[in-house]
Amino acid sequence: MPFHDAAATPVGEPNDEQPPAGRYRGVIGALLAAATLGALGTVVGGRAFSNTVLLDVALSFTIAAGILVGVLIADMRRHRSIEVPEIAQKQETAAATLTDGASEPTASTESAAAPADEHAKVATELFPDAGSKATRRTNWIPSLSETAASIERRIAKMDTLDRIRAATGIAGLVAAAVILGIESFPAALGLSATIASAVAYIAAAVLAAGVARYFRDVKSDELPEAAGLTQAARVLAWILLIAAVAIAAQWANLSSILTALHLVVLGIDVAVCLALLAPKTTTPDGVHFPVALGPLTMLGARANVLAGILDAAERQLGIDLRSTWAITVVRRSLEPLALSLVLVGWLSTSFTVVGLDEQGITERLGVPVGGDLPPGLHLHWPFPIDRVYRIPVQRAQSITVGHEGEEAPGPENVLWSVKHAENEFTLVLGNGRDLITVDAAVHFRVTNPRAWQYRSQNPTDALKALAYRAVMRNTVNRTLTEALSENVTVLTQRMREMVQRDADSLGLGVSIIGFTVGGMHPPVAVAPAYEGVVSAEIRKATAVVDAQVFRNQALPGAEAAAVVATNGARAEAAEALGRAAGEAWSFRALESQYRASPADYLFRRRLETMEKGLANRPFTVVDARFLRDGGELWVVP
Amino acid sequence: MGGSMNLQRWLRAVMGTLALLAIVFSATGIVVREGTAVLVTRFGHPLRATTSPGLHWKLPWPIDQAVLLDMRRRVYETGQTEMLTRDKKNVIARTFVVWRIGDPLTFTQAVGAQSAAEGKLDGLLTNAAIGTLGGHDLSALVSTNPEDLQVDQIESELLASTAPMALKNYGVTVEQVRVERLALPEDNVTAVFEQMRAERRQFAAKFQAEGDLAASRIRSEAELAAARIRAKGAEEQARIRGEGAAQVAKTYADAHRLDPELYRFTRSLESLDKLVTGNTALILRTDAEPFSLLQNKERR
Repeated sequence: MPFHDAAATPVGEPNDEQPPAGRYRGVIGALLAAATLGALGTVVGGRAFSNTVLLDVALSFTIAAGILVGVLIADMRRHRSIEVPEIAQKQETAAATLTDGASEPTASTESAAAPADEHAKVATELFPDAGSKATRRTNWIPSLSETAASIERRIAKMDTLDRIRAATGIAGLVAAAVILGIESFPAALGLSATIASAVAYIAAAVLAAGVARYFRDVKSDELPEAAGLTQAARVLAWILLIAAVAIAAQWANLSSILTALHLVVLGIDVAVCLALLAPKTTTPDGVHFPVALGPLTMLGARANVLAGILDAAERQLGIDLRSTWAITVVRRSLEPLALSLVLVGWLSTSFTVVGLDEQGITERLGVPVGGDLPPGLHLHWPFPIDRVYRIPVQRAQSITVGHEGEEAPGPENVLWSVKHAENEFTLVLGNGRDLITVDAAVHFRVTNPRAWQYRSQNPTDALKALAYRAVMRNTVNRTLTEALSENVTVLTQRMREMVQRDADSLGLGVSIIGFTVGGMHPPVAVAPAYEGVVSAEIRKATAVVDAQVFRNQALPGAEAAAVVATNGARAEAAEALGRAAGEAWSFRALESQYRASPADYLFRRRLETMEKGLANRPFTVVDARFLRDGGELWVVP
Repeated sequence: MGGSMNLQRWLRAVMGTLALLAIVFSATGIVVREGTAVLVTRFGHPLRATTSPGLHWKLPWPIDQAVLLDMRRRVYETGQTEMLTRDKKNVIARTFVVWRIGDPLTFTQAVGAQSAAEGKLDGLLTNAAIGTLGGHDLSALVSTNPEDLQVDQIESELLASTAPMALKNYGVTVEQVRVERLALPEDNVTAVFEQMRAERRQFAAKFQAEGDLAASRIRSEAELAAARIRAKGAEEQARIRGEGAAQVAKTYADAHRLDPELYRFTRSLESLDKLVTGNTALILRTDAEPFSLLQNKERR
C-alpha cells in the first residue's frame, strides 16, 4: 500500500513538469531552524515561568524539528537519485527482487530513488524471512543476549531515516518522562510579561497555520510529505494556542486549568512519539519520511480539530457521528451555552459577600461611594464599573517583632536559652556594651477601613516598622539589668501608646489593642551565663542552709553531751553520798552497840573477824613462851 | 428551532456589543482609583496628570498612553548599614522611610517604577546615615543618660539631607525618616557576648565565694558554740563530782566523829578482812586471843 496517495505518480522518472531539485529544501530548512529556535526559546520561557505546559510545547517543537530533519534528508535523497539515473536503475532492479511478483507494481517501486543497498536494508527489516519467524515461534522467551543481538542487528540494518524516526520518538518519550517528573510551582507573572508572551505564542500559532496552508497547496508528487506536514503544522498551531492560554491561566493563577493543559499537550507529544516508534505499515520506500502519523492525522486532518476527530471516528468506526442527535444538539447549544456562561460570569461580578469580620468599600469607577458595607450579600454594578474591597475590620491582627522566620506552631516555650525563631535580632542597650533580645507582638484592629485602604500602600509593613522603632526607643536608654527588671506592664503600655501615636501620624486607621512582650532576655548565646549567675546565687543560699543544718545538729549535740556529763556526775555524787550516808548510819548503829559494852564488843568483833579470816586458811600458831624466852623464829618462804 | 436561533443571534449581538464596548473602553477609558494618579502622554509628550479619582478619557494607543501611579504613602525599610560614629565605634543601623510620589511627571521620568524608587531612596538614606551618624557619638543613639540621646535630632537631620534631593531628582516626597533598629557588627557581637559572659562569671564566682564564706562562718561558729557547751558541761560535771565527794567525806566525818577509836577499830577490821587472802602466811602467838587458851592459864 502506498504511503501517500500521491505516490501513485512516478517521481523517479524525470520529465518537464518535475520540480527543480531542492525546491522545498530551503522552506524545510527554514522551518527546521524556526522549530529549533522555538524549542530553545520555549524551554527558556518554561523554566523562567515555571510553566510545564511551555516545556511540553518545547517538546512539541523538538519533535517537529526531528520530523523536519527526516523530511529534509528524504528530500535530498529523492533528488540525488534523479540526478543519477543509473543508480535509480539499480534501485529499480533491487526493488523488483524484493516485491512479490503477484503484487501490483507500486508507484513507490517505480519512483524509488534511493540506492539499492538501502532498499535491501529496508526490505530486510520490514520483510524478515519466514525461517526466522518460525524460530521465534518455537522460542517464546528469547534470552537477553538474543534480544540484545536482535536489537543490534535491527539497528545495524536500519536506514538513516528510520534511525531519525526512532531517535526522535525515543528522545521525545524520555523528555516527556522527565517533564512529567518535574514538580512545578508556577511563578507569579506580571501583566506585561503575560501579554507579551501570549501574543508571541499566538503569532507563532498564526505562522504555524500559515505553514499548514502552504503545504496544503503543495502537490504530493512534488513533496510526498506535504500532506503530513500540513497536519503536523495544524496540530502545532493548536498547541501554540494552548501555550498562550496556559500563560493566561498562569497569570490568573488557575492551576487546575494549567494541569489539564499540561496533560493534553504532553499526551499529544507522547502519542506522536509512540507513532514514530510504531512499525512501519508502508511499502519499503526509503525516500518517504513518515509524517502522516496517526495522532497528527486525527487532530490535524482539518483546521477544525473537532471535525478532524469526527472524521477519524467515522473512518475507524464507519459511523457518521455528525448525524447523531446528541452531537447535533451539543453542536447547536455549544455556542449559546458558552456565551451565556460568559454573560452570567460577568453579571456575577455584581454580587459581593462581605464576611462576618469584614466591611466593604464600594468603588465606582475608582471613586469610593456610599457608606461602608456591613457583612452580608450586596448588589452593585458589575466590573469594571463597581469594585468592592473587603477589609477585615473586626479581626484582631498581630505582627511579631524581634525575629524573622516562622515560629513553631502551638504554645510557645519562652526560654532564654532556646531560640524562638531562626533569626532573632539583638538590640544594643543604653550602655553600648550589652545586647538584648526582645520577642514582642503588636495586636491591632482596623478602625477606619478607608484610611487603611487609601492612605498607605503597605500599612502592615508600616506597623511592623513602627513596632520595631518603639522597642528600640524603649531599650536604648536602659542597661540590661534595668531592662530585665522593668515592669513589663508599664513598658508595654508605653510602647503601645508610642505605636498608636506613630500610626495616627501616618493615618493608618488602626487601633493598637495591645503590645505584648513574649520574652525580653539576654541573647541566647549568653543566656546560660545569666542563668549560671542565678544558679550560683541559689548555690550560695544552699551552702548557707547546709551550714545552718550543721549548726543545728552540732549545738544540740554538744548540749546533749554536757547535760549527760552533768547529770552523770550528779548521779555519781548522789550514789556516793547515799553510800556514805548508809555507812554513816551503819557506823552509828555499831557505835550504839559498842557503847553498851565496849570491851565485849571489841572482843567479839575481833574474834568474829579472826574466825572469818582464818577459816579455811592455813596459819601457824607460835607459843608465846618461845619468844618470851628469847627464842628466834625463822620464817623461810 | 427558530426561537433558539433568535436567542443565539441575540446572544451573539449582546456579546459582540459588550466585547466591542470593552475594547473601546479599555483603549480610551482610564479608571483612576482613590489614592492613585494618572499621567497621560501623547506620543511621549506629557499631556496631563490628575489625581482626582473617577473615570477619565484618553485617545487610544498609540496616540495617548496612560501611566497609573500609586500616590499613597509607602513605608520602606532600608537595608542594614554599618557605620562609624564620631567616637570611632561601629554600629549597624536600619532605618525606614515614609515616602510617596510628590511629582508624578518627575517620578515617571526619573524612576518609573516603585521598586526602582526604593532602590534610589536606599542609596540616598545610606549615604545620609553614614554622614549624619559620623557627626555624632554612639551615646547620641544609645545611652542611659537621657540628656545624651539625640535620636529625634538625628532623624531630623536624615530627613533634611534626603527629602529635598529625593523630591528634586526623583519626584519622591520623603515625609519621615526613622531609625528602626540598632545593632552591633557580627565580630563586635561575639566580643560583646564574651564580655557579657565574663561579667556573669564574675557575679557567679562572687555568689559562690559568698556562699562558701557564709557557710564556713556558720559552721565554725557552730563548732565553737558546741565546744563551749561541751566545756561548760565538763566543768559542771567536775563541780558536781567534787561537791558530791565533799558531802560524802563530810557524811563520813560526821559519823566517825562520834567515836574515832571505834571507827579506827571497825575500819581496821574491814581492812584486815580485805587484806588477808588465801596465800597469806599467818603466824599467830599463843598469848593472843583465842589461842591464849592453849597456854593452860587459869581463868582469873
